[in-house]
Amino acid sequence: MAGPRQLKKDSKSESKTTTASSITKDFAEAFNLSIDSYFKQVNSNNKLKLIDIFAFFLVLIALIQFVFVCLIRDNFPFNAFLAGFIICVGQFILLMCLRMQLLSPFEGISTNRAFGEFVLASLLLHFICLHFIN
Amino acid sequence: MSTAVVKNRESSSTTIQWVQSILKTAIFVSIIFASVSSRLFAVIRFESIIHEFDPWFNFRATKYLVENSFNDFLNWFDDRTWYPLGRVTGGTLYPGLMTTSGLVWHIFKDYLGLPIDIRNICVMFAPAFSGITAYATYKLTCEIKDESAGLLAAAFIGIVPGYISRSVAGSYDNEAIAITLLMVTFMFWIKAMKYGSILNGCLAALFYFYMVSAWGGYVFITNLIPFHVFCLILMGRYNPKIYVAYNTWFVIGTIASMQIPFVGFLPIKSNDHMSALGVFGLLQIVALGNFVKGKVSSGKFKIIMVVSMITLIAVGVLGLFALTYMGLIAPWTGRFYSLWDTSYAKIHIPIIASVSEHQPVTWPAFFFDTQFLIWLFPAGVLLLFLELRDEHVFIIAYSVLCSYFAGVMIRLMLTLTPVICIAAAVALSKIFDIYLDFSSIFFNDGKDKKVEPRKKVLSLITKLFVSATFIFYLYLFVYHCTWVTQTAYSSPSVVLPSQGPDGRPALIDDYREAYYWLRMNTKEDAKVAAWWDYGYQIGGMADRTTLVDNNTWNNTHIALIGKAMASPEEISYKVLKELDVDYVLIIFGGVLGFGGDDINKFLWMIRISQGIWPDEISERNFFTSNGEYKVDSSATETMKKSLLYKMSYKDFPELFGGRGEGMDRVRHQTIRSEDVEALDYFEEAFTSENWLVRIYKLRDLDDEGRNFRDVGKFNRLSEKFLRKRSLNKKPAIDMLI
Amino acid sequence: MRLGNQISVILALLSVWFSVVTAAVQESLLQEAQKNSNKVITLTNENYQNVLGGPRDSYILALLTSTAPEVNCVTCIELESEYKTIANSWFADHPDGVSGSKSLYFAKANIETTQFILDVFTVLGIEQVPRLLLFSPGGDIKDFELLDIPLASGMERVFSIITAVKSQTGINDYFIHEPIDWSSFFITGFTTFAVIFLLRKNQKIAVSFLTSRITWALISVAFIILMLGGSMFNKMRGQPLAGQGKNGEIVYFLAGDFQNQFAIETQVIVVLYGILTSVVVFLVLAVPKISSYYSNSARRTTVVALAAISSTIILYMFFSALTGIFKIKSASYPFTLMKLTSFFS
Repeated sequence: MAGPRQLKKDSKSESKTTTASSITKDFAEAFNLSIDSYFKQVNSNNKLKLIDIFAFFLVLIALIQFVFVCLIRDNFPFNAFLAGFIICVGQFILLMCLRMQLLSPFEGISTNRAFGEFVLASLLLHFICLHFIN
Repeated sequence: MSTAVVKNRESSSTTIQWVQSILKTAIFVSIIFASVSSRLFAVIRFESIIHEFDPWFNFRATKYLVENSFNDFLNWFDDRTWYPLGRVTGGTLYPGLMTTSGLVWHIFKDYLGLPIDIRNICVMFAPAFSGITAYATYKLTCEIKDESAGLLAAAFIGIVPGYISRSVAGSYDNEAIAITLLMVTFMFWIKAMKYGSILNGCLAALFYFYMVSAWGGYVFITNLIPFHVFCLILMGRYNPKIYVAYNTWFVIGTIASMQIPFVGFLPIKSNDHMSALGVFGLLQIVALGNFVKGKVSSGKFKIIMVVSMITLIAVGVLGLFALTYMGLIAPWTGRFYSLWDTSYAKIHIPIIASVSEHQPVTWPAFFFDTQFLIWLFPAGVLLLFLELRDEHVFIIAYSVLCSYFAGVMIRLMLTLTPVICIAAAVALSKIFDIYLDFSSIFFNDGKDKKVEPRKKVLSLITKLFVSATFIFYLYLFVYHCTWVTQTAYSSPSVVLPSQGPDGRPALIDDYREAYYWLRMNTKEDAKVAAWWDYGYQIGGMADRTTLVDNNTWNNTHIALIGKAMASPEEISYKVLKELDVDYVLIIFGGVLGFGGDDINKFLWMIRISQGIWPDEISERNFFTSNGEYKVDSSATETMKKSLLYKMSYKDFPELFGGRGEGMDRVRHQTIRSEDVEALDYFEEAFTSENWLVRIYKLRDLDDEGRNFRDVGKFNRLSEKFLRKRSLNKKPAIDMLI
Repeated sequence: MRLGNQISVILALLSVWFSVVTAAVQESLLQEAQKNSNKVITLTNENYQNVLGGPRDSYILALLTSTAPEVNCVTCIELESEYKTIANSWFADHPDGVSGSKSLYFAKANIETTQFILDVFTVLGIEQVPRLLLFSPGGDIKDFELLDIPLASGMERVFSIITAVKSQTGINDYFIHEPIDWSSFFITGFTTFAVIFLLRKNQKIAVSFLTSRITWALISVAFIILMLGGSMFNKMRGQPLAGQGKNGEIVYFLAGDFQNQFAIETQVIVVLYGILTSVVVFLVLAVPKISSYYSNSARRTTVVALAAISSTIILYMFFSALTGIFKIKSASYPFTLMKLTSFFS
């Protein structure tokens, strides 16, 4: 009975390809959905726009530093590079934390307090990184 | 009427608050008083002196710090140790301890107008900080359960022997401040995680930096906090507070910890720190996933998440392996690898395996250090599983990990003790919550059911019975802790207590006698060769240049000293003369019966030097043909000719009356004067009262250019001759001048 | 001159013959070694003179041992497999036993029954077993050095012996190859396979089991109690299960020694800690549950009283047992609790 057996085989391979293509389709769909809702969220709130632009700028600077080190193939003095790189990473992280606290404030922490703590932490980070540059 | 009732209730609640705060203050004062005073046994019995070996180095470094500026201290190149190599001390120590003492000394002297000697500050440092540890533990346990558990935990950690063992007055070691900072860092971490505040994360990172500057065991925090976050993610408990807390701590903590010269770039180059970096990356992905989750349906989201997680984890692990293989990231250091593969150190790094602090732990050691807390601790962990808030996961992860490490290495028992106190306090306070709660007996809880007085009395008796038993256990705990502290952990080990022949307590102060002799009777730049155990003490008490000390960073240099001790006189003299040595110091316990002397450590000297010069020194030549380690007449020629043997037993057989035979009370063997050959290249400079410390001076070259042997032979001949002559000559007492 | 020429010819022939003989001896050593599967030459009364006699061209490590039951030499029995590992490690890297200009072979003489003492023992004057003898090149049968046999068994002993051989012979490229334990490999593989199979069959039960809080609670607490009982010490030091007293009775606790313990002590202590922990948890969790279960009954207070008081008494009993055991280990401990019953001794 070659017929039904063959059919089964076909459906199995079909289902394999369908799962692969369905995953990519889902992925693309999810990607587009999240991008759209992200832009909607940012455009509605000026503070978030400011934070995200600053964060993007920091990523750019970190990338430039990293590419520069790769191009000249030398990372001496290493602590200077590290200080520059980590300050970008650190400031980015702090911005993300502030963003989360602004979007849905945690209990006991008002938005003003969140901003104040953010400023303090950034000052600390800058102080340490400046010390590290030597 | 009702407002009056409400007002009454309000005023009574404020009174209750007042009473509570007064009680809390009183309790804290007594806890601090108890913790400080139970650490003072050694100071009261002996004197205010720095104990053991390592604290002497820390003390010397602190003295250098207060006499010179902070910049000089960070750039200190010590030329009075490891002569002639010197040691870059500024870059190879953890400066937190010395800096803190220096700061305290400075505050006392300049701002409070109370100049205290730096030695007293160093001695009293650990007890003072134990009070701060108690407060930090209180705050931490308040976050875990509530204030009553916090007070119990503070009381426990104030007097528990496991912590006292490394923080008595006089034990001026890194652990004195490290445990305090550990508790403070954890307190701020738990607070940051609970409230999601950036400020608490910053404070946690700052105290983490302080901890990195103080102790090498900071790697424990570096791995415990990421492990905690990882467990929470696995349990599906991710929330933005965790993101805020961990990332703030990680970024600021890492960059701050790289400021310490000794740590340098280790946080991004060594495998020990990779888990923190890994969890950092993981958290970013999880946050992103969380963001996307809100926008997309859950079914599709799950598939995407799983696929991307798997790919990213695979990439991360492969990348880590590749980087380690290429040598960009250092693999696990041997010290930490041996914690996982317990037989690794025995085979490949025997020096690590031989250190007594790295031995595994027997069960009496656990009970000895914690008494009844040891069975309350698992009960507390089990009870924490009921509520399982995020901070409880931290305590559980801490307990499980630390129990394993403490079981493997006795030195890590110290890091287990705080969590034992916290978990046991939680368990005990839950018991007291139920059985010390007499409110249902004395007040009607509104159910309107009239309970018979007989029943009330019965429940009262039950509750009293249980609480009284546990209060009795607490009472016994205090006695146990005090007894353990005074018998086991209060010995300075520089001064040895002993008993005179009539049973009166006597003190054996030979070490200090010898070091002080060195300090007073030798020139300032004299170089003293001794085995590395005593290096720090010689540097600290005698203030003389040493060749090797407890830092043991240069194995070849140590092997040189070992070779000098194990070779015959002529070779030793040459070796030591090349190193500019003036004095040789050895420890000899044969008269006292002190088992930790140099003849007992001789095998290690031989082994280490044999590793570098196998053709000159062979361990088998020191064993008899039966394979025994003998020092009496059946000892091998190599043994009898070795410098250490001659130095230890010089004039020893003559001590015991004219028979010329002495009994070595450690090895229980008889040494005859024929076995001890003459020492020609060295002369005896000093022997302490109980013959514990013996100092020898290298002889200067002979004025007439003779060989030392010939000089010695000549002197011995003429001694015999002179003695006979002088025996014949009797002083004429009644001669008139 | 003719004499000089003749002498030089004779000398040349002699040296050629000498090198042929020694090469032949070396070749024959290799052949002897390859007779056995593990390349250890078995010394018999017939071949020991040839193998060990001079002049030698290579190093020979000889193990003189006895597995006879009446000799009862425990180290000899341990060395049987360890010596194979030592020889195999060498031959794994050097199949013909040669490394540079030096060569190393292994020999073993085993007295299997004390009726037949092998000649090699009497000739070399060996009266105690086991003995490791290192024969260096040149010299005759009585030129050997005794190597120490360390006390620790297993890979540690293998490592020390190889290090000693390396330092005595000057051969540096001698590495340990730990034998692969095939049996444990198969057992692990099989159990993993079986576990995964069972898990997939009963997936729902397995998942609920793994995610339940109680499972993890019990696992963590059991692990903690096991560690606190000193089980890592037993594992790392290979402690015996129990000791033997003077009259042959079983000693459960190693008295007076703080730094040492038997494996059975860990088991007793783990049980003790488990009981104490469970009683505490009972007091905290179960008693209020009982109280609320009986909340409308008249017997409530009596039942609660019974439960609480009896658990406290049990707690006291076991805690006094614990302190009593501790007093056995540390004789000067003054804070033992008075025992309620006398059959905890």
